[in-house]
Amino acid sequence: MKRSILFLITILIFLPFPGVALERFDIITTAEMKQMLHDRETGKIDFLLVNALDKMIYNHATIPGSINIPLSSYKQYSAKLGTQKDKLIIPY
Amino acid sequence: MKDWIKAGNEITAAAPLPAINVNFVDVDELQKLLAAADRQNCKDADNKPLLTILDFRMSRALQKKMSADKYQIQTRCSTINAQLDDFINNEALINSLPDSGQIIAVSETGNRDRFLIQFLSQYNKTNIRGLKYGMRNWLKAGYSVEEIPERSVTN
Repeated sequence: MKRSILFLITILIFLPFPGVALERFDIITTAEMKQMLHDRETGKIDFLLVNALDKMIYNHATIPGSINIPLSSYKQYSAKLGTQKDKLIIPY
Repeated sequence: MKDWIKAGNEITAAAPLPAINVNFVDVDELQKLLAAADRQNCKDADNKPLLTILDFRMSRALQKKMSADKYQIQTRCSTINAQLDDFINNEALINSLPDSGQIIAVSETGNRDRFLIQFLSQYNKTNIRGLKYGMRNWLKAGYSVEEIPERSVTN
């Protein structure tokens, strides 16, 4: 029994968490996004919200205040990102 | 985006697509359809196409292809390659889709199929179904593929 518990603890310590692969990115929830959009409207923060879906899908439905840079033709639209390198970009 | 809509948040819709029923085939059904069509050289008695593959994967636009993107569904039926946005204001491309026979839309995962099908329904193209879970599932099932010819890059 003791050995089983020890084995289980060892596994839990060394088992990578499922979210590890996403550690390179901060993930924003829908509720946080809503708040951030409100804060942008009131001038508290600034960021670019980028809809990376195809133009057809963007035109069908998008989050208000987004710009469209389709992943399939990002080179064509990349100028929309502007020149300010440290500006926060939130793609979806 | 799905979560945003699901939460009842506001959306902007500059050109909403018509709400229609979108139908899908699964990979096993498509394999059977292709086998049957291939046996007839993909033509019906009037020499019209029995089945057409509409491959609109994003990777088709890339010169350099990675692993699975190098392959397409193997068939004697014709394969049309185009990007989703290529269809916007492009009646020549839309009209190039046959009205006879079935058209099967192929994307990476099947997620974008409904947008293409909804869009084309506006042009009375109603013979199109999506491939459930897309090319990923076709490859996973181990069905026949062939290398994409270099010259067939879209865009």
